[in-house]
Amino acid sequence: MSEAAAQASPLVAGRAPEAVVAPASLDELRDLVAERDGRTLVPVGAGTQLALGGAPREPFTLVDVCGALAGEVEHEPADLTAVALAGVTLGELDAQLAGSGQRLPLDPPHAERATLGGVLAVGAGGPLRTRHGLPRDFVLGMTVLRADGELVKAGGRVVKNVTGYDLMRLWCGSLGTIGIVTSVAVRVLPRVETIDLRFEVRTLAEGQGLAERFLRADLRPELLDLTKEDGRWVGVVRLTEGAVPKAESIAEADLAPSSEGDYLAVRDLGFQKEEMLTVRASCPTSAIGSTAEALEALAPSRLLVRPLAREVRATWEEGSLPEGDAVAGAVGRLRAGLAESGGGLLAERIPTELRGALDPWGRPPTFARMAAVKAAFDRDGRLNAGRYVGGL
Amino acid sequence: MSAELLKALRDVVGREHVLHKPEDLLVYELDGTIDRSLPDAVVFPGNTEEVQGVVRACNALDVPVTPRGAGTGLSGGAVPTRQGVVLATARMRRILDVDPVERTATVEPGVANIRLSEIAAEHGLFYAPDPSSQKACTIGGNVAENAGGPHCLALGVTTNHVIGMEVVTASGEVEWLGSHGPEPTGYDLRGLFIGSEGTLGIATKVVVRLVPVPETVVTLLAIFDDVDSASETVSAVIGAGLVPAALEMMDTVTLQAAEAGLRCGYPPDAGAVLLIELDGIEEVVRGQVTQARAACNEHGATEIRTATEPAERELLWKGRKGAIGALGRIAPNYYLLDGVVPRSKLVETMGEVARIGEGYGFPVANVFHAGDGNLHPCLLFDEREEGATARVLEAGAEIMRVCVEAGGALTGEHGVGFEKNRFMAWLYSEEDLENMRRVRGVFGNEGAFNPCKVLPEGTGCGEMAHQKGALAAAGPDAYV
Repeated sequence: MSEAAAQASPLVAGRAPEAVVAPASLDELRDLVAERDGRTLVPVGAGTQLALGGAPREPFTLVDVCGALAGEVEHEPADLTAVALAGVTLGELDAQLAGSGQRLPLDPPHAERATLGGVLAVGAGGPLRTRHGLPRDFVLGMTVLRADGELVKAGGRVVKNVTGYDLMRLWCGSLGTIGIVTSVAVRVLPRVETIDLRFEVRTLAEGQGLAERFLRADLRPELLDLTKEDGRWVGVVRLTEGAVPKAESIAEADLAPSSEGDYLAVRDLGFQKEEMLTVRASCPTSAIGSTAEALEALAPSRLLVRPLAREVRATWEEGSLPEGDAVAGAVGRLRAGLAESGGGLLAERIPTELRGALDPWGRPPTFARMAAVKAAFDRDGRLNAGRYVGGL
Repeated sequence: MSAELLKALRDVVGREHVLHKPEDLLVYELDGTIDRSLPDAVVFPGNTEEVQGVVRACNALDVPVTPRGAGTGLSGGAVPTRQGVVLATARMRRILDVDPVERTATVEPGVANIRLSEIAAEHGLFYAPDPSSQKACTIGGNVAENAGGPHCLALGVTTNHVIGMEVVTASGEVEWLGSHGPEPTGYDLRGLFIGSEGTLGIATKVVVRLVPVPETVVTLLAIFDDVDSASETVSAVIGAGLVPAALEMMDTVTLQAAEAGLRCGYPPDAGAVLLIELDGIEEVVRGQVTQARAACNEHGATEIRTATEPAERELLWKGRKGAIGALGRIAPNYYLLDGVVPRSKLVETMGEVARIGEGYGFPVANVFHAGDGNLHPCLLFDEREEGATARVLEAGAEIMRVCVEAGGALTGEHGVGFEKNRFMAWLYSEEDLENMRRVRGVFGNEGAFNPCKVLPEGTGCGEMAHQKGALAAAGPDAYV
């Protein structure tokens, strides 16, 4: 039983569903989607990202898909692939892969309990995206329940494949607005021995410089995250054992052992219970410093920079939330500034009192094309309507 | 060709950039595959506006448009199947920007793949995807085909390295998809466009990600008595937890051709050669080389050559990179296939491929990306023999069928193009294909923009008789 269904009345982007249903099988889920009753359907896995996006168009039903999409993982260690139903959690998947010394290096917030389908629908990575990229980069094939109730697929289960359009990339990050992911074939990797190290630098620029030197020295850090703590920047970096001596020699900072807690803190930053407002900017390297500065001016509770992934995240706890006008102004300015490079800023969590002031997504220049995609795959706006970019 | 069309094209790009005399059009009737079709005209726009102008002029007159880069494609993607206009990017070869801070380069679509690594080299960077045709093939063509290459095992294919592009859509609109570096908000239209084989539009500017040149690179060339031993070595390497930068295999027919043409020093009785490339910092690579060598020795390698210096490594790669070209020495024509199977099914599939080749009487040379199960059987034939071309296509179709039935795919890196569009139903249901049709609609392709590619349909697409024969040989029924 997923958390979403377990809670009395889970809110989706601040709004309560009219009903919560949990189909027990894929057939039941299919029947539910095929029914045309004018309701918005909001698919949910473990519910780790229910705050994301705009409020669903009413009336809406929260559809817990975990029961319908549960089942065995087919792992083929010799092929470095696995096929799983979308309701499997990353934790369950990892446990199975670990049995053969393999892994799927995706670590979005609350990875252990997040479902594979949910993670792909949201599309966001975690610290490991520094080395391994986004969830979509691991998808070999997908089966999706289209808004008209048809089960359709793209890709396959081999690690290299250009047979037909890459619809998997369209489905990943689409937040269930053009189909509900039902099963996924992924590429997996061998597990490697790594060490997490912690360091401190005075300024963000120093931290960025160190990240750049590590990259240029071919140390291939799996993750490198910087957080602001008491006026200093603290870094956590994950390296293979063999890379540590060289890292020490070029670091110009002490590299100390880091705990699992340090890693989890950066992974889940912005997604803890008390964190009410969370924004994430995706910016060019040259704008990381100014973006972090602009967000810092709003006195966030925590600030994270993932320099090699060009990501800046800030979060505010209850009681230290900024004024609506101030945050809306800053977000607007940042979005305008990032537009030229094609970057963006996403408000991943918005407290109810700020919902009126803040558009979670901003409007990308390709919005018209996106609206055409939505219309082509969900003409009646049945799946997650209202929640995605521009209210799609 | 109508005078109206000729005038419209000349108005857009200038008289000197339009070819329309039959003798000038001949080289544009084919790419690297077997099918051919002569266009009515070839135009060479010089910039985005001219590309847009050509697309709009053709749309207005209902003339098919087929984009073309260097013409090195291997699935008929650049063949103007329904005649009309070939839109070639040969004049759009400017490097617009190289940014070492963002580690990106922005270029026009006609820039050759290898140029990207050349311009990045002074910043200690390179462009990772390296199709075998990289000296000629263009980045625009790479985007269309989502091209791969020997070094894609660890680093990924084109879609992992092209961050954004300006495109002229099939409907003639100019739009940026993706970004100059950061992750944009919303649907991944960039990811959708890459690999759409020039059916959604044509890229007019491309932003690529550049990656640091590895500190240390070690290439191992191991010689085996047979393909089975080499394949077992591949499994052992993967099983040891290594993800080599490249893991390539050649079989005995290929080795003999390479030896005859390139003098790589392969023993005359070698049954298979495995190339393993490892990179990273020296401290790490050293251990990996030991592991890889142990795997080779355990599985009966008769000889292992090791190279670390660029010139020496180049020598070990020589036979692999020149292999296909060298096949010309042992047969007048070859038909190069591209299929994928789960890696653990490679040996079994190769047995089937050999059986099919024998049945048709065509020798088969095999070169493949063993690390990712991407095989390239090469059927050797002589097109002057009565019916040979039709039969080689039939044999190719049967081989594709074998790949699909092994749980694989129709193409790992060459694309579906015209060559395999009718086989799509072996993998995908009617509704699966309907998704792709809807995507075409989103980009305004009403059927005349690179017609007859990827999807098994379109008026005027079905007249090539030998393709029908190929389909009959392997069966038209859906394999779902």
